Amino acid sequence: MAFRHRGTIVLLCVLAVSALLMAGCAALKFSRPIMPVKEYERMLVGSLDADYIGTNNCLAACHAHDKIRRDFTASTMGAQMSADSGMPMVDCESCHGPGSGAVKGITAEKVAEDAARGIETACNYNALIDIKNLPVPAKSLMCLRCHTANATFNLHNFATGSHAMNEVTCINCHNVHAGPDLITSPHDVSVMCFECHSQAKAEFSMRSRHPVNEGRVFCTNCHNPHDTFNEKLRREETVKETCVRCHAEKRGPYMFEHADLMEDCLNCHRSHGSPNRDLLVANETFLCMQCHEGHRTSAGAASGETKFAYYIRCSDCHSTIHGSDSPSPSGRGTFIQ
Amino acid sequence: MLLAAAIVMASVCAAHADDFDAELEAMLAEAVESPVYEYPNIPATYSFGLGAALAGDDLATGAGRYSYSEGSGLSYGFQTRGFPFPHRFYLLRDHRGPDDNYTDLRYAYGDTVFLRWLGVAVHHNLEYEPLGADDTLTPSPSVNVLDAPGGQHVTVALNDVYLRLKYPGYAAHVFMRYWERSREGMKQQRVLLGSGYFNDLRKTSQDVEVDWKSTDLTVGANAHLGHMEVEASHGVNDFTSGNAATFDSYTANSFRSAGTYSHSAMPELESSEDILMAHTSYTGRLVMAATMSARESDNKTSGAKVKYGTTTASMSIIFNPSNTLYLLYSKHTMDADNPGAATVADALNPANTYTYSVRQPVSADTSRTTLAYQSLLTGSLTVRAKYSTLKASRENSQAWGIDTPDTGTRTGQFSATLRPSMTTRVRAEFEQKRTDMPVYNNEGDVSRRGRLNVDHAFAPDLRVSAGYSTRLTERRGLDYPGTTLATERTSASDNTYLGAHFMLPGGISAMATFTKIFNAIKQDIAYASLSGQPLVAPGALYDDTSHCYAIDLSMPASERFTLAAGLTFTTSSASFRTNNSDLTLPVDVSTLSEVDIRQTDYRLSGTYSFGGGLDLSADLAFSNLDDMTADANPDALQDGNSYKGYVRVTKAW
Repeated sequence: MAFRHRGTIVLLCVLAVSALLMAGCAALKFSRPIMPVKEYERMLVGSLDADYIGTNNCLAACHAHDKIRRDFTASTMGAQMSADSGMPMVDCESCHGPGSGAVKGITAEKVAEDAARGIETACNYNALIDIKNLPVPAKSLMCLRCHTANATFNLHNFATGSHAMNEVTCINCHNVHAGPDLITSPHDVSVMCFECHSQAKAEFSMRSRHPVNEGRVFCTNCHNPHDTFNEKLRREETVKETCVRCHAEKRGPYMFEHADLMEDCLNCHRSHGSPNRDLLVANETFLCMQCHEGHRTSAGAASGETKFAYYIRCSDCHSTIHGSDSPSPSGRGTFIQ
Repeated sequence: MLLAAAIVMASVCAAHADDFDAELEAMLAEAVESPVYEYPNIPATYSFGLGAALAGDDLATGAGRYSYSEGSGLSYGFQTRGFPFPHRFYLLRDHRGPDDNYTDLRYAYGDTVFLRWLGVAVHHNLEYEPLGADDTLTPSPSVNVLDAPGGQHVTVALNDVYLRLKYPGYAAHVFMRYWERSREGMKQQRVLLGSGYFNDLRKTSQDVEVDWKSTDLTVGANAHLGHMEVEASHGVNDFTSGNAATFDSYTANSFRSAGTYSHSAMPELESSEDILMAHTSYTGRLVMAATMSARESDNKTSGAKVKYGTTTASMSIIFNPSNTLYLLYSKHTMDADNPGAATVADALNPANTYTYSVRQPVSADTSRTTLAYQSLLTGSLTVRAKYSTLKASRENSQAWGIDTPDTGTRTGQFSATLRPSMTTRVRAEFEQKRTDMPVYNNEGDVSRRGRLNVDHAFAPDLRVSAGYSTRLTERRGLDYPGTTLATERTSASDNTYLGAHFMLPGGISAMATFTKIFNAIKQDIAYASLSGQPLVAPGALYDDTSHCYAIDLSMPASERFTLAAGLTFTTSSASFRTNNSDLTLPVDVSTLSEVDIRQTDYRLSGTYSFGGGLDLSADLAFSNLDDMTADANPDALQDGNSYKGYVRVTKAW
């Protein structure tokens, strides 16, 4: 079945290339919505009475936004794709709407006069798009209008993902005015995630844990915050594939495996933190005895020494529990050898 | 078929793009008449810091899980950012020790070239599991300890390099990703030597070297085709170990002679993957996305193989701003195979070679369907309903004692979010899951989960949040090979969270949280008897409870001085209990695995600015661990402390 998948993928790639040739290179420039959501698009047009005036005019008289302007200009948003176009990629009015109404009546002289009186001259923000109070899908649309066309596959599953369904938008995590770096640093991701996923932060303080609080593993190592088809925003199709991104020695396949239990590491392990060693769901031997019978070597109760032998940790003897190519001394696959 | 139809549709739609092309050219012609854009002149910034790192711990303790006890020495860091447009670059290196560092390198040329390298190294101290004392009066079981606690560790290195090359002026690019992870160090290896039978058990503990590397290389291409964006990629993975296997002496048993045989072998692994993805514009009422992937993994040492195939498609439809429908379908196939026989040979006497038959592994097909609907009932109330099904079908399962190869799960979920005001949000969720013919004992027949979260801002500087979730799962009819008397299992969990953000005198910002996590399992368990059926210990109980109290303080940033402090106190306990006298007398098995820990972590960091770009920064962390168990069973955890401190002088230009 998997081989048929591979052949199908190759066939579809050929079809895609053929479609590309048929469409012509001009088609590569465009990506248009299927049935635009006019209700949201109207919200992002801004005031119909206002004119676009350009970034220089937006900020000409006012130094309060100097840092924002400098950071934005230095970022990929403000960077110039091509000097020939005569336009920046994104400017203030791309998101805030036409700005003539906001700066009406504000001149450098007025700003200086107000400053002399100890007053900070404010723009008429009500004339701009009220981004804070936009419906959640409209807030996302503000970014998606461009980030759907510039070949960003990060958002492949965003529309039907948990974050979108639970009203998390781009600006919940991406602050475009924080600095010139618009890529959220892995260090900052965890802090952001913990604002909503607070239980996870406590789990990373447990005895056995991934070093997220230590800043050496990040939420984005396992989860894709832009959503995936997989449960819990897992990066990979299965839990096992997500874990072996780092724990590659557990990938296998092996001659002797734990049936298909191995496809889901969460059968035995927790992903964030655990009071038990090795992130185990429960301590050995109870963990194993949920499915397997315990050892007993006589008709009566196991002696103290027998209990020390069999009931401290099953993995003292069954040490290759994640899979082995070697049969056990009895020739079976009991993960002893 | 769906994907093929979508691609054909996209190419037809793209033909109409020519009209838009003409309009755009006209707009650009007008723009060119305006003054030509000039790249801004933004000076580059640099900073370089040099300092000392101090780290240490009591090696036998669990307090310093990720501290590098030999990490005392030089620490340095540098950061630079430059904008010689159209070039842009950024480099951050934080070196706290050879086994503790972080690197982030980015370079871009316009929007046509993008390169990023993320590198992380972390030192991980490993727990040592004592095997217990050897009773020399009893030949079996015996204990043979060839190592000592302390010093077991691995250094984990992760490197992720991404390169994208875009065609100028067109939304099309090719990319390459290289993902490497490696581990080096020494770990405890616990293994059973002797004959492997009850009359000759030799539990052994020894140190072995860890030295493996795994690399992934993926190349792909991406382009917009009218209404569709399509991406295809091919990846290969390679895993090698410098320490392939350990050889030890085994005594004879009825199946093989005494000899030196390998164990704990790490095979050479290879895999490859092809992925094809497509989606429509994210900005429409109708958004569709699909992914197809095929992966093969090979064990080059033993010949075991597994093939995976996944097809997933999703669709969201915005009927109007108040109503949205979501659909998802996914099919995943796993086809596992092995040569049917495994061979083991005496390393010192190859004539002693034994071949054993190996049963075929379980293969499985799973398909998942999800349907969800979201509705904004009023301006402040949003409700969501979700229904999903999961069907699993297994092959070769009967050889593994799995009599019911097919499993079906149905899940219904209902949630609501209420915003009675701009400062308050309430979220409630309920989920019920039913599984037909669960296969493994840790799966339930019925599971119910509820959750409630409340967030409220009393003032801009006073916000509180609270959350509670609970889950109950039940199972009737457990599957133990030799008995049908073990029948019942119930598992439960409940979690509580309280958090508050507030201001203290002096403008100090504080964040205080309390989290309680509780899990419990009550299950009939079975253990073997030499005569007759296995015996059953009804209602054996496992539970674990953790409480985490944390407070973080941040002094307001002044012109020269910033300071932050934090304290986290975590209590964790776990135990396994049973009333069955076989398991409690003369030694209670619950004492052999119980956990009771108190851990306190202190953090302090601050920066003093002398002016002129010269800063002094310090970052201190101290951990204390108390093992509260009576140590009837000598376990890995010992009381102890761990500390890490970094002091650095940084100059910025």
